[in-house]
Amino acid sequence: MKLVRFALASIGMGGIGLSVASCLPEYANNELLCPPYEDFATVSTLLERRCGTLDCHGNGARPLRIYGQYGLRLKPVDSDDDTLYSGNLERATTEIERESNYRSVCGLEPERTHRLINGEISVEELTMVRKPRLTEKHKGGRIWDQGKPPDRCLVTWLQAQYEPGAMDTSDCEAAITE
Amino acid sequence: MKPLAQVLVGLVPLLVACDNPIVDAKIEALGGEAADTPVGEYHRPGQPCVLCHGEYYGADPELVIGGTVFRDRQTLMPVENARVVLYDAVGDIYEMTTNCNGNFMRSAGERDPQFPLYAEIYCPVYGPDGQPLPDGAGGVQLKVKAMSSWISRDGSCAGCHTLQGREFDSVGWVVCNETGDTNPIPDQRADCPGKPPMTGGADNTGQGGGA
Repeated sequence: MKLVRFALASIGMGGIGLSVASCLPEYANNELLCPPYEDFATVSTLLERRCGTLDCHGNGARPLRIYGQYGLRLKPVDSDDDTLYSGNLERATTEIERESNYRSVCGLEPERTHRLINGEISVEELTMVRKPRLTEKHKGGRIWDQGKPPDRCLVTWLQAQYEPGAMDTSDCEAAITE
Repeated sequence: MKPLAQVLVGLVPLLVACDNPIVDAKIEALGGEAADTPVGEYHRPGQPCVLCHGEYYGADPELVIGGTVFRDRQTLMPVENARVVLYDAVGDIYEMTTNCNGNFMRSAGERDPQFPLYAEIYCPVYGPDGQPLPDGAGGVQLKVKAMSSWISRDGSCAGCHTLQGREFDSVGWVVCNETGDTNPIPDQRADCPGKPPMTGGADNTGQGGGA
């Protein structure tokens, strides 16, 4: 949004396009809603195992980048931590990796996610939900079926109909261990 | 030139312009063939086989799965007669055996594994005399190693198990012996037509197959 505001100001100072600018709505910084981070840990674990392998979303060249102990590791530039390598099951997913996964999910379709939480659209309208069900084209194929524990885990978290920190994680735990 | 011919000639650049620069760069980075290894089933150990032997590049034969099994993380010594077992998404099981350069592969055919895949490697167990230990049933003792995650879509084992070793984006090459394992797998036999990576070759980049 800052870029848009800057562009409009430049046009105005140039003395041209004032009439055009005046027809545009007033822009403001938007705050976009995303489901609670407090309840994301088990969802992240699910995504790490089912989506985050190195040959899929555990890859810096793909959208919805997923970090985790089974796939891509997020190694800070100045870190000399030699335990942060892919597949090191003794080095659990770090908090910064989990936060990055959260940003990946929230940033995939931020406006739609916001509208979902506001009750304006249904969960089926999110590509995050449709792709693993293969109701939208997905190079990785069908990852899970609608209504099964991994699907319910993701949908429950996305719909955010719980107090932050109080999500029922039973589906997520079942999906992780199945 | 007739108009139709002009149109067809004009289409040629469009038809050949469908290259994937990312895949092309990966293939180019593999370097040339090793001088000490003939092109064929023994070549380019530890390299991502399906990059070239896939639908895109079209090297013959087309492979759906390919990889290399090495002895340990300290050397790039290949393991012969390791069994690689894949379990696919529809319940089918596929087995391959490594050759003397550690390579295993499955050609594209009428029954291809359906991703995602789960993989196990059965490594032959050797005695101190360098001979495989019998299992008492006419076979050889095998030690199983299982992947901790599944293979989602890449038929090249080396796509993730790269020769750069364990990194933030690599699990390291596929091995039978982890640190602390005592299975004395012998060195490669001398009459093997292929040579392991980093043993010299065309440009000695250490990228596998001597290349």
